[in-house]
Amino acid sequence: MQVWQAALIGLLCYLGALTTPWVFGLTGGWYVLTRPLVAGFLCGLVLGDIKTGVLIGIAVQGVFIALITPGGTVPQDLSFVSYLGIPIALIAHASPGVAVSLSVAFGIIGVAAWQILSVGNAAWAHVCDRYANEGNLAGIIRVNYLAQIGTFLLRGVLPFFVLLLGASFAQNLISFLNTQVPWLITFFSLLGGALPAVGIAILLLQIAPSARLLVWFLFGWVLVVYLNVPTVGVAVISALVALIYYWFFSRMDTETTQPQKAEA
Amino acid sequence: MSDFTIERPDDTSHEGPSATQTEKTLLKSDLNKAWWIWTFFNLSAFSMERMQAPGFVYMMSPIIKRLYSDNPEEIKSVLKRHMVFFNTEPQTGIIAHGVTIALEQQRASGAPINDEMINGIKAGIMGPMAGIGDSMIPGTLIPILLAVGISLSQGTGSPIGPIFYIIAYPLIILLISYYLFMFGYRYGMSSMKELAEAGFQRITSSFAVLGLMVAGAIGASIITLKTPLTYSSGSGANLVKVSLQGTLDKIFPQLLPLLLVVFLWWGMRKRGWPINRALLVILLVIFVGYLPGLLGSIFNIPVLSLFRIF
Repeated sequence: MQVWQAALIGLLCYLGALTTPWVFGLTGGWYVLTRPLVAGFLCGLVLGDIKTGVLIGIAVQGVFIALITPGGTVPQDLSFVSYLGIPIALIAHASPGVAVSLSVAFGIIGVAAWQILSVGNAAWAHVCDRYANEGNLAGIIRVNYLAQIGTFLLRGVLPFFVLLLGASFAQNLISFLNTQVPWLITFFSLLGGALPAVGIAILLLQIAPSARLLVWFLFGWVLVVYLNVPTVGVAVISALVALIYYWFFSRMDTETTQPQKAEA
Repeated sequence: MSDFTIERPDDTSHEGPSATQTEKTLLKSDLNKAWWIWTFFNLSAFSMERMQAPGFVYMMSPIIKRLYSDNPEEIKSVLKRHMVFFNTEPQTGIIAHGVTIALEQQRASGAPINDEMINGIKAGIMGPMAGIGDSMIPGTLIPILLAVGISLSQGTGSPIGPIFYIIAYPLIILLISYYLFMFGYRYGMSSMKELAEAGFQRITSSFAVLGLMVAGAIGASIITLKTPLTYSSGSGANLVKVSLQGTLDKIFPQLLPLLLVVFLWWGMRKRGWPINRALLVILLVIFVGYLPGLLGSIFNIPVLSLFRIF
């Protein structure tokens, strides 16, 4: 692969990453550029074989057609599926079937990249906290741009070098990562799974001024874990509870205000 | 009877500016700017800890400048208010942003809207919109459009399919997103007027109920902490190994994540931990729990770590 081709595909990988803002954020990046159907076409365009690119894209897209990324958990990382798996399959003249398994292997490696990024980015949130305490709005805005450094390194520079070093290197990299350092992936998965607890606790600090209010938090929690109510269902139930609660409260208020009126 | 009531927030120190303040207005261009910023920067500083909060604050920046530019204390307060955990489906959950902007405008105009109310409503909308949005957009709309694109190019490998998708998806979703954003703002403005007549103080706690229940549902769905530990049960030939996680799941599913959240909340609220300390606690808990398993695998001893992924 030529340097300019690797650079262009690396750039596409970065532009299509989940956390890149430049192409209409999530909409144009993750949901358009990084769909394998589109990536197959674009990689084919860069590598000079649109027809094969589109056909490989279709084969890979079939596997990931209804991939949802709920709450930031990525079962398969489409960035590396689309911009490492597909171009390497293309230059290796792999069949669509081989392209699919190659892409899936890259997708699993990509999950580790995503976890490192989304855990590491927590540092930026803490920089934002400091700016918030100072009332520095411009600082928080700047963080939204600075946080791109990590995304660019992991989603642009890394794929560029992998593509430059070629297909055999990529295969070796996959087997190395899969066998030698699973502990790193495990550690970051564990951390990524537990980290939302900090965010939820901070949210609780804001909504629940007293410990007794935590009962409502527990109520929502047990609806999910015991009754498997989806979040939408909990929202509907909680709206009803809030309404009942409001009426109950209003009645209390009229009960307490009426005697006062009588006294006056 | 009072056992069923909720303590009303007695801390009114961070309530909105006094009602004597003049009516604040927002320009259409402020709203448009906010929408554009969010459309681009919704996930740019995403982290597992605070998720979309930095993008949310950036989205609020034209609004903050218009409403609070004359009041440095209010700027600090509004920045802290929106740096809390926020996560939704960014394209359709933007209805929460519209409502939040309406709330901030009312607050700046003197309505007694406090932090709990704003974040309660935000949480109450972001949770269900994440669920609805994810099932409607990546769960339904995108697969349909992709299927059309695939059928246009299948066999021939023509670029028509991908090109169709590249044009169709952003066009549809950006129109929907803009409409939902403006709908949220209008709805927030009109319903707030009704709410103001009903009395904010009473309503705040009702919204806290809503927000807290949804926050509970979000927490139970997205935090993962499981243990691979087992214990022995019975004796002799009947000795069986029982999975601790399996037992916990039978008694109280997702118990470990709940204990973790409550522990962090307790630390920050009662012990006054700064957020960095809470983060350090998580790092320590995971690291200490993971270390035995890591050492075990290096030295090839059958020792389990305290936690597992799936």
